[in-house]
Amino acid sequence: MMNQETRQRFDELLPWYVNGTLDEDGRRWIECQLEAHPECRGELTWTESLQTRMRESKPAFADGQGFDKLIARIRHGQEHSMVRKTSPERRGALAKLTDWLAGIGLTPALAGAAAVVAVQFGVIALLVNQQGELESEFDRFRSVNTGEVVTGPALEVVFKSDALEREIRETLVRIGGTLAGGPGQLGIYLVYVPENEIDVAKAMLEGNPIVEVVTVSRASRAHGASGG
Amino acid sequence: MELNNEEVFELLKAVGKGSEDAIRKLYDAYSRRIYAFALNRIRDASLAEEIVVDTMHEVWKHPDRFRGESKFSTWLLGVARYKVLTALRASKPEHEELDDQMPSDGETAFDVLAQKQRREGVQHCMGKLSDEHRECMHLVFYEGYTLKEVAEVQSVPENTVKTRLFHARQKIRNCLRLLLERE
Repeated sequence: MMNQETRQRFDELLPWYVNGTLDEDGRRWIECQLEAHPECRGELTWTESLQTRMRESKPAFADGQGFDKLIARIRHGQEHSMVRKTSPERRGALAKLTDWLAGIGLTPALAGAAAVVAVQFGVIALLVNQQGELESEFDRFRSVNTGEVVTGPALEVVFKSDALEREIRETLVRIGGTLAGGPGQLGIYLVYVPENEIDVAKAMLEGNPIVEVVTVSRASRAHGASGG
Repeated sequence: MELNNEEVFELLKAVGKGSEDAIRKLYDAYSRRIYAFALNRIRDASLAEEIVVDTMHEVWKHPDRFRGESKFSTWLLGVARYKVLTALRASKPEHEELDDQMPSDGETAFDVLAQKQRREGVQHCMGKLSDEHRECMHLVFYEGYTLKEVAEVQSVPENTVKTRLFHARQKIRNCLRLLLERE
């Protein structure tokens, strides 16, 4: 009979032996145990049989099933963004400015160009002004990678793909969260909040329309972890 | 068919330029696996198809998010998992939790179980596992993923995967044994 420690290691490695991903040392160790303890072969046979049964259960999925939906969504998305770029409100304001500039004696082409330049200056001035107002508030969320370990629970948050960076930052301010890592390849942000506030913060995020998924991670993480 | 990362990057580059042909190739290569993964988790065929479309739509919108730090399929199933979690967020678990206390018996019971367990029985017992356990079993035995890959898709430490797998196997074994005893 195997002792408890050996038994535990055997149980731990067997699934990876069966699915073929165990490294060479691990494979050799399992084979030695099977040799020394033939009574364990039953468990190997059972696990192999379980894998076979699971792989037999391939769900029916036709070639290209659902692809039409994807293409429809892609094409709809493109049309949607084109509509947004030329929204009636924007065109109306630009047209009014062009008309006014033409009215003070500029040719239509020159009036159009001058209107575009004026609008661009207006937008830049607005952004600079807003940045100034928000800068002090966002100072504590600047991206840093200190290698510090954040202990205690943290929130793993995925924001909707069309969420703006500013909206994300404002959301973090509202929940009193500190960005500890991410976004990684999966777009996951790791957000640290004090432990006694984590449930409230999670509930706030769940009710926020720009948040796609939020889960509580109980593991300790390092600042700057990829999060995905 | 698993494409290598070089092939995937070529296709993603084309996707970034708006190639529908490239997204079609990625769809053909990976949609089945996403569907099997989603169906295993949510057990609703039309919702699972939606997850496939949603996941591939993410690839279309953000082809640059895959950086080649893992296999593309691992990354893709991670994206699909978050789509599944979004879909499940409002729903409550419907399964009954299984007991994973292993009754003491002889090792030969494994042989009997291995000989008699049928596909339907395995499916039935898989359906009784918790979402995380079922997902873990799927990634290990259906997808054939490494420990590191399973941990990456499930966004948990490797030790958590080991624990989940241990309990999932115990539960499924007990469930199958009960099924056989009833026959």
